Amino acid sequence: MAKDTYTEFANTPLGKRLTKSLGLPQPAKLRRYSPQAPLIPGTVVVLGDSAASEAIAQQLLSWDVDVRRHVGAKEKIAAVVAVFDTVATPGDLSQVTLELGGLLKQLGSSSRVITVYRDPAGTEDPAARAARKGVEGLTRSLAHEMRAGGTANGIILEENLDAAAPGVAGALRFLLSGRSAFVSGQFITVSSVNGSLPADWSRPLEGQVAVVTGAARGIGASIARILHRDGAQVIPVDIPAAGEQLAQVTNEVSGTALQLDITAADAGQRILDHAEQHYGRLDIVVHNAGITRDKLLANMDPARWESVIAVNIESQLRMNKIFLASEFFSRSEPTGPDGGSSGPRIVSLASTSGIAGNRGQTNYAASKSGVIGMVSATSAQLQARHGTINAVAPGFIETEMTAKIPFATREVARRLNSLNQGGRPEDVAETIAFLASPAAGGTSGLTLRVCGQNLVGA
Amino acid sequence: MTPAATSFEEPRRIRTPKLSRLYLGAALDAARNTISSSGNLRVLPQAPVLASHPGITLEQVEQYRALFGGEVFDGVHRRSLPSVLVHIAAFPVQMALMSQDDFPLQLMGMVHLSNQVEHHQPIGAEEALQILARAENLRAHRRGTQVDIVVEIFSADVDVTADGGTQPLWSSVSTYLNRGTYLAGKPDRNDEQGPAFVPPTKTASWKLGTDAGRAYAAVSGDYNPIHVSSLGAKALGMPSAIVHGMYSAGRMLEGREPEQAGHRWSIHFEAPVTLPATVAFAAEEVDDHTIRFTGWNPRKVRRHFTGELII
Amino acid sequence: MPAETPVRNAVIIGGNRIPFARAHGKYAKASNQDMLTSALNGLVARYGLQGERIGTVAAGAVLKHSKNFNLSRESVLGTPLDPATPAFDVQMACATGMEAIGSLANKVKLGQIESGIGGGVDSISDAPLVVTDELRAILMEANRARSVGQRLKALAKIRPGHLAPQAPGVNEPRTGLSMGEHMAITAHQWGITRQEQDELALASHKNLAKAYDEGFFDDLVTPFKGLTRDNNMRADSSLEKLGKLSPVFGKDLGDQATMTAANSTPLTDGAATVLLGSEEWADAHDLPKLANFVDYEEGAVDFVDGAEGLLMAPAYAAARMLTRNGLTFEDFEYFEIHEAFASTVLAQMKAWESEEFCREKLGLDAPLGSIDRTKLNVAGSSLAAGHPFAATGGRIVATLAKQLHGKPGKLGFISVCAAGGLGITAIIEGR
Repeated sequence: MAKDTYTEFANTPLGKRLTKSLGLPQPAKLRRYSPQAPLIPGTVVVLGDSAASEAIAQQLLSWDVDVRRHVGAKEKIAAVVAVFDTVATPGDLSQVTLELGGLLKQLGSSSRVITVYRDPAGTEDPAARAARKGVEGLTRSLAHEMRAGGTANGIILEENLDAAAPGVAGALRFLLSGRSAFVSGQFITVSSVNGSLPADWSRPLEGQVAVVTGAARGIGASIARILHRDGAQVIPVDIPAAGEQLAQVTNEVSGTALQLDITAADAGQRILDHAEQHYGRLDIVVHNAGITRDKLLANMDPARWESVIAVNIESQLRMNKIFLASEFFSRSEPTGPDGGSSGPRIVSLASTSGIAGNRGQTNYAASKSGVIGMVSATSAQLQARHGTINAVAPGFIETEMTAKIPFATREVARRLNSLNQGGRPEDVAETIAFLASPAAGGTSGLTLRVCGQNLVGA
Repeated sequence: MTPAATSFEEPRRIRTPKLSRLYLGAALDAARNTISSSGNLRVLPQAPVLASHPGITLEQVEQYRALFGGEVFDGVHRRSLPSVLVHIAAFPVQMALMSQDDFPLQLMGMVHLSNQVEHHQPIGAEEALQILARAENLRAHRRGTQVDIVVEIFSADVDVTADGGTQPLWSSVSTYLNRGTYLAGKPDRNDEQGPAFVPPTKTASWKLGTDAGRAYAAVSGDYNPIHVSSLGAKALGMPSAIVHGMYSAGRMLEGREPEQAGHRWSIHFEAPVTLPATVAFAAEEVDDHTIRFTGWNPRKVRRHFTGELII
Repeated sequence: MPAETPVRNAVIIGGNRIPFARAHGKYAKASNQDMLTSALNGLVARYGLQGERIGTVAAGAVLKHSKNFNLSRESVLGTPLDPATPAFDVQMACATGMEAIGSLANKVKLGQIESGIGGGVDSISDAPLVVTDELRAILMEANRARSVGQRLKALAKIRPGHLAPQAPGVNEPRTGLSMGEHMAITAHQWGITRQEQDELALASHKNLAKAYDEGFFDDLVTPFKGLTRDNNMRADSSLEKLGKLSPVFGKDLGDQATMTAANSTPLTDGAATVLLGSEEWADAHDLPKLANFVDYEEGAVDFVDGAEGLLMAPAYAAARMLTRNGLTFEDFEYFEIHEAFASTVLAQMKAWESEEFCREKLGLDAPLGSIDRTKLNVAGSSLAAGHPFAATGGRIVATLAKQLHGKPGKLGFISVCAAGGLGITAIIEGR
């Protein structure tokens, strides 16, 4: 992983003074998830007086969080959940928004602001939709204004969805926790009551079996580790040539390695066979494997173009087809203590390049945009088995791959986001683990960015 | 070979000499260019020599074993000493015989032509022995004069001069050639050309380093300069040091002699093995009792020796 | 043992090896322990054995440092296996891997262990160098010395000539002949031609390359030190290219010499392992059951004075093993005959076809018969993959087990020759 010396320096006492007086970016040390740490280190203020607001406050209380409706002017707070689900006109935004604004200076480091509102597409009333879209705009802008590693994100509720749905709790918990350290200015739509909450929040994937492609190194290896930490049994997959590192990662996560070229016609079946042989089930597929073959389009040769398309998107389409045709890739039996059901999960790696485009990456961007399209279209096919499919689009992540970017370019790329730093592979992995969890059952077809609110392609 | 002869003169008892002193004497003789003078030049000494031997030490046995890489002499499974080690014990007595003033041939530059051994009874380590040696059969060779040295080895506790004789434990005939000395006239030259040598299928390959002669010398005490240094060898007309003939015999027999003895074997030397060398070796079973050995230079296809073991 | 004593199946679950590397190349800096540990790590990763207590691990190396006196155990301790996993070292020259696996299979069959890992490793590149006997004697004397003076006196005996290290010989100790020289004699005696040797070598390369291309080795090989395939493999070889090589063994046969560097195995570094278990253990751990290890037979021949060829022991072992199991070559689906040299395979096959040999030497009424060449070494063998001595058994067992997987009841035959006139044959049965 590339070493972010600047961030380390800026977090020393001298560095803090220097960077501040020079007006340099001040990247904060982000609060990251640890199963031992509290969900959120401090008070959470819940704003808004709707039923949804009450449901959310109750949910937070059930997690032993210090929940308040009001706090004193000097009191430090860790997060604000601003519930806007009943706004009917843009004028309705002001009360909660201004209340929120008044609290911002009391937020500590790596704080959280979470806005909750109804899906703008859920209403045909122009004023209501305008109000709802307004929440989106204010959330994005607030994300830019957050300081000291704080983030602002939104949870979008389907028109008639009960705010007590497991998916809402799951999204709320994800956004409050250190799992979402590098997620900012993003929105998680909860569109169904599917999903279930785990008995043990430190082991949300207990008993589940997950396949991770491209697991030998970088983000893939991190995904394998975090799924394992969250309780899953992991099948790390990578091309045979990467077998040595794959074995190492596999042994670290006590999994079973599968050396496989995912572009092979039978790759999907071999994954199913392996899972059936060793575990008798398959719950989670993470399509992480991907390659880059950068070239300006004017210089692009067929091999560069075709290999990127073949590995990054066609293989996923082919494998998904096999998985979805298999009864084996299914688990609609109730899993949670609340009796909610939770189906299979597919999580694909997209990229901010796929959203914003990137010079020299027509092939890569095509494949990653393809992933975003695939995810939104496949969602419906998984509904019957209560499954979900989502994508994660990482921004600048400190990996072996990005360590090869020339220093100056890397330094610019790193700072070009609201958190003034690059993310870590585990930030991507944490988001994937969330989307793969039973608690995320209400969210499907979504592409969630893990980019620290990168300025590119926002 | 005849059993122990009984009709010769009373043997002259000698102490087993040190080979180094014998070689020194021989070298001095050679330097003075004297032919051993006393006595009739064409007549062999009549009296055999007899020496007592305290027994081959365990240390020597171990040295020998280490040299040939054979099995360990544990006194139970392997007790009977190899014939060549027995030969080593007797060799100084042979040399003493040939160094006597009445011996007609000069010791230095003597070439070992062949050796035949009958190993009648097992001989163990630290078993005291008597070694009887006599010269016989002085005769012509196309390149000089050859002589047989007959050695018989007895237990320390038998009377070797007793009438009726005593069966030796071990006996050998070593044939030596003194090149260029025609004491017994010149033979017919009809045996000059043998059939062309066609090597048999090799069964082993011996890689001998430049120190192979010295290694055998360290075990046998036979520091004949022709074997231990290429300078010494050159002084004696060889291109470089040559390995002892009995080294080849020892190697050829290693692991093949029966523990209960009662076997006989022979070796005939041809082209010397100049060091370093790779010797191709073949052991061929002729019948149930007989193994034929051949050693040769695989590059030049020249035979170094042939041998036979009859059990 | 009474015939009715119940004996369990010993199930071959799978295998893992590292790619084999030509000596002094990719693995030049890897030790035997490094390679065996890596092969074990890959096996553990493939079958999820982390933290598992295996019944026992048996492996070995032919060329072994004295510091590796506990090679298998030390390697186990470097893996995620339960440290309570016992291990022992095996050494049977090139048959080390087969002996390790076969002996573990017997332990499984007897109910002594539920699971076992067998295999082997060898490194030519990291082979132990030995000091000369003279130097060793001096050093030992110095080591025993009680005073500095004594020690210096001992050390003063060291001469420059003592310092040249000695590489371990691959020559037969009792004959001084290399294995290749021995094989050249046997090949000559059986009249094996250059042409048929080159054809066999070519088939080995083609078969291995094809197996790689088909992904056959995807779950048998784990890369090591950047090497992803056996680097001796020459997929583009041809009879013309092979025909151009000069003989390297049996050169004293003159124009009758037939053995080249291409139809002989190169010196190679590598490691291979095989996971065995009882049915119950495999089921309880959700592991695949590729094949059963049915039986194996050790053989040895008196080669010292040339009564039999050095590498012909499997010819004898096969006869005894087939008789014991009431089988003929007709009963086998695949044959894995270790290609120490192309001529080794050909000589064994000729011997089994020879009425005289089978009658006189094997004591059979009729020849064992010929082997269908389309069933022979179908995923390549040592000529192409290379032959890290002790690793070859593991390579063969895992390869054959995978070929037989999904063919219940179909049999596979294994022959591995070894130095010292040794050999092993084995039968495995698909499931």
